[in-house]
Amino acid sequence: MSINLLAAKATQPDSDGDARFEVSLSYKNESVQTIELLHTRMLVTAPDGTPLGEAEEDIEELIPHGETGRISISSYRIPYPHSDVTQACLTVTIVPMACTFLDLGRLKISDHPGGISTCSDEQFSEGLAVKRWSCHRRRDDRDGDVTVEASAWLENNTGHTIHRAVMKLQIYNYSGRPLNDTESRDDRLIFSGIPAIINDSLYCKTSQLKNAYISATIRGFTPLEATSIQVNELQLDR
Amino acid sequence: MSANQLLSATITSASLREPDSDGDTRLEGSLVLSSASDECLELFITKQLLRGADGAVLSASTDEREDALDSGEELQLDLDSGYLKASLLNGTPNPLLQVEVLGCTSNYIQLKPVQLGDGTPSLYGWHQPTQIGSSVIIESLAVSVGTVDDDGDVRIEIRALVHNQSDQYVPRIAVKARAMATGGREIDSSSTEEKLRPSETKVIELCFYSIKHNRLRGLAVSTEATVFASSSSARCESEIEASQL
Repeated sequence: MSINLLAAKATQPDSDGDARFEVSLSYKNESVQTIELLHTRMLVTAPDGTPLGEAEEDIEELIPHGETGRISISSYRIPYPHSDVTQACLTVTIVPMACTFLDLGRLKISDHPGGISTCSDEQFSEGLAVKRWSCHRRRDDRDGDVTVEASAWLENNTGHTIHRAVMKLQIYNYSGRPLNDTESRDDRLIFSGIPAIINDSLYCKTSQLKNAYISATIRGFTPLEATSIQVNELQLDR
Repeated sequence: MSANQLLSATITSASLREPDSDGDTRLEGSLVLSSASDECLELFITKQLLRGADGAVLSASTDEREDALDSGEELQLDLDSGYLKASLLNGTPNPLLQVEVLGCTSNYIQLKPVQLGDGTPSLYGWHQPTQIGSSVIIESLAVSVGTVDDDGDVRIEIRALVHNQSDQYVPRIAVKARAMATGGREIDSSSTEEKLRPSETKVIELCFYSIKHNRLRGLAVSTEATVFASSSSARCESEIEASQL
């Protein structure tokens, strides 16, 4: 991925001595892979290199090979002790990430409290594999609610470290009607060749779980080559 | 057996909480339901009235809860009146709690998906009356794809034309649309709930406010609907001990 600076601005420090920094960039995806997430980081330093603060942001974009676009990255308030904020130095790094999607299908939820159901069919896509996944129906609580937990044995064979896995669960009742759903983010590092279990859970009414099913999907994000740019000239944002 | 006899309700362990520092109290307790209906009841609409010595209404509340109750089974729901001033109960040692419950069956359907092709701004959809349960028909589904805005986003509006062909009030129709990419990945979703009067025709609208234009190629709008139809009802009442307040 290549990036070019379009504009860089900073506000005057406020009464607390904090300033806000903003950078606009254009990009082009020059890799053969489609990019689905941009992890951005902007370091703010004084003219002499003294570190002052940083801003991090994840931007979900779908950027096929060859496509161009624009993004803006801004910081919250960062203490700036010097008089001229336009002399600040910004180091902007963008880590583009590719995404692998896996649909694990549906699994029956046990009709019995404490019961576990398992799918041992291996599912894989672009180096990401789920060896098996299971659904654990926890014991009912006193309010007539129950926790349903799904766990997936994930193997990362992409050759890259997965920096984020997103699991989405959906429960369906006996008629196929969707009930509750949930989506969670697991930001652990999942190293290539090393298995990991990712899981999530959701609440449901006990009475709604007769002949119920659960479905799961997983998205794994792997970083591509990072790009950096240094900005030494800022405009004053009035 | 009449519809009213298919559902029965009993109030158990109802009581009023100690007033808080603002002098407010609330009713707590349980409603136990049992059903003799052949169909599973999946939505319960409860209306509660708390009445004073002279019959005056001290508080009124309505609640809707999704759950499941099969024939021959029991289901316990929490009662909650919301807050009311404890001073309203002066001179009423035993207020009367009256509860009316409407049990609803559900019918769920996945509608024919709408393929957006290459996502050119246009109107997509179908006109093909689709029955949901015995009372509701979805006449048509229209998906309007807008033009790309300055941020590269596209707004997609979905309109379902719905008709209640029965002479029964439909207390809830829930419609959900999902934007599905190739491979079954959900990109966005939108849902809403409406009520339908007898014989009413209504347009139910949903929207995906900002879908990246480059996600449109191969995208499908998958829509599902659930109709909760009135099935059976029950009434019950119980005197509440309020003398300790």
